[in-house]
Amino acid sequence: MGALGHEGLNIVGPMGPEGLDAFLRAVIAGALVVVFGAVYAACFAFGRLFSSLILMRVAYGCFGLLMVTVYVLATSLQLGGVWNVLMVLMLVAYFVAPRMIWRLTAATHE
Amino acid sequence: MSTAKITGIAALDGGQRLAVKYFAVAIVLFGAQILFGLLAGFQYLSPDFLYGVVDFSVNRMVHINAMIVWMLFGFIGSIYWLIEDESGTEVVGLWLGNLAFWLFTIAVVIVVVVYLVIQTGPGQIESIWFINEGREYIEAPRWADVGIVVCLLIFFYNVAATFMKGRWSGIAGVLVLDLVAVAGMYLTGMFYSPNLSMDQFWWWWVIHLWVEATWEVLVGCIMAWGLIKTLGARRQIVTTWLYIEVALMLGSGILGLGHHYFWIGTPEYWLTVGGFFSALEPVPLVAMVVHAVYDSGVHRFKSPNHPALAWLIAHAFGNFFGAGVWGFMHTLPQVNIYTHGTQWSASHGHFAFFGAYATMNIAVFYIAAQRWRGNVNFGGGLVDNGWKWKWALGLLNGGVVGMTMALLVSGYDQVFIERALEGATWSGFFKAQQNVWYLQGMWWRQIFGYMTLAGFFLLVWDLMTIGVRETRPAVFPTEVAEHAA
Ligand code: HEM
Ligand code: HEM
Ligand SMILES: [Fe+2]
Repeated sequence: MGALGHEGLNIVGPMGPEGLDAFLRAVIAGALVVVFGAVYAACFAFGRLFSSLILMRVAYGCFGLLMVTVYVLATSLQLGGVWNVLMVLMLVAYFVAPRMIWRLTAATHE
Repeated sequence: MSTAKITGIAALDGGQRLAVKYFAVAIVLFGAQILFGLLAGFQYLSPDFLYGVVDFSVNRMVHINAMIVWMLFGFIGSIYWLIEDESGTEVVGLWLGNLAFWLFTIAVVIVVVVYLVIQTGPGQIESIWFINEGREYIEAPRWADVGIVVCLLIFFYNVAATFMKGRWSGIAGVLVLDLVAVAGMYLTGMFYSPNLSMDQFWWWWVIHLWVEATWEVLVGCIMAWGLIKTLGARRQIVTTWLYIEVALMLGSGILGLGHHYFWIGTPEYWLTVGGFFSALEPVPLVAMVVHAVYDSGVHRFKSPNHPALAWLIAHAFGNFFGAGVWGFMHTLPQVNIYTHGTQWSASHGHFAFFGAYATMNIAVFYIAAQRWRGNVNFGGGLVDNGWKWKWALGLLNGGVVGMTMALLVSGYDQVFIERALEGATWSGFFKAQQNVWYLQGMWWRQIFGYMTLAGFFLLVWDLMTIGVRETRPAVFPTEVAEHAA
């Protein structure tokens, strides 16, 4: 199973209860990654809109949770090598994209 | 708004008159989709039901083909709906557009009748041409494919030529380019090869590159126009947002195609390519949130068309959860190796198609209904307090979300029993489907399916009656802004 990393998640043989727990953790973490990404984006945008420090803090708090869920995802799936690069890429993209869009929308408003 | 209220056909421009025909057929096919979905769902519970009369394979096929076609009809209608307004001129070849509408509609009817009459038989080159091409979602035989391409070309000509004669805009540019891609992708679905890997390789170009690239751009264009027209959003902002959105969407979505090439016999590098790019596909959906917040803050949404606005919001949420959250959950190959082809996929498929595309079409139906009724107020204080549209909204969304959850339970059961415990064996496949959790999931899917059906009936009833007794004219934010200036 070279391309997918360690043999921990291997369809060829049955995976057993620990494997299933890891799987369940992974899909829940996966769903939460996207949800926290959106909540971060929303709090960030509202924070900027109302110039609210509290909302900005909530936004960064959400981003912290996003980092945690990405960590859980990566460890549950026993990701290795290039797949960890993807996890970092995701973090960067989720952090930067809302800021970029904000700057662009604000800039075109004038 | 001092003139007497003009309603019906007389209230519409040329493009819009054609659009309502497309909408009418779309709604009928939406009904057919639900009906055949319920038949197929019931056969999961009672496999003998209608066996040999309309087999599961046929019900399933009509169910999802009807979906693709009704959504295409809805999109084409939506573009005809907005084009004269957006281009500032009349549709160039309206009679051609009408001709294409009738050709397309008649072709659809013939194809479905043939599906129902000839349900089994050998697969030969003649059956590919005249009965069934055998590719999930786009099973229509080749003669119909050719017809569909001709209709799409006529549509494309009408759109491009109308903008050329009138005025171009950012939205128009994106739209015209996108339509080339939509039609081009369809052609790849006509490719035939006895090599199943190759066949699937090209087939996914249609399905994936439609729903995760070109259709997203198309609804982006419709949304952009809708925001400007019904909510008074500034064109400049909306257009910039559209460009970025399209760039992000295509940047991740095109190679995200690889998430369908994990296990079909394509080279191993697709695991990495598909995993990487598709993992980034939710990012544009998340970034969209910022734009929505900005718009709501700056324009304080005040819409004279509450049902349309509500369905646009349902679209934003549905697209985000159905495509973004449900999509990402199973898109890494490390996860997909367990979920591939289970009810998990069906859970995502239902949520995403409904959430992203059914919702958007329904929003446009309401925009159209408002003009049809003479631009009366669809905002607060409707005659019957708008109970019909509110209940239709609740039942349809509740029904589909309920089906999504039920399918997730069944899908998880398959992961658990078939894949994890039994190691993806043939006997494991059947063991999973006899498990009580799996079966309960199937029952609940059916129950929520009836809820969806009830929502559909209410929706149709509401579209036929909303605003009939309303007299107050609608006040659009764009008009308010212009008067204030
Ligand atoms: C509105 C957009 C989308 C729609 C309408 C949609 C619809 C569907 C449908 C119907 C299927 C089942 C195909 C079949 O086997 O018959 C499917 C499969 C899949 N989708 Fe999506 N999808 C969307 C967006 C996404 C996104 C954004 C992702 C990833 C982030 C994603 C990931 C997947 C994956 C991995 C599969 C394969 C499932 C399997 O292996 O069985 N989808 N999609
Ligand atoms: C209203 C009640 C509905 C019922 C009972 C129902 C039932 C079904 C059934 C039994 C299948 C075949 C699944 C299989 O092969 O295992 C199916 C497939 C599908 N249905 Fe529905 N459906 C309903 C509504 C909808 C709606 C509203 C949509 C979207 C707008 C939709 C989209 C799909 C899609 C995309 C597939 C293919 C999924 C895949 O291959 O993974 N259905 N449906
Ligand atoms: Fe896809």
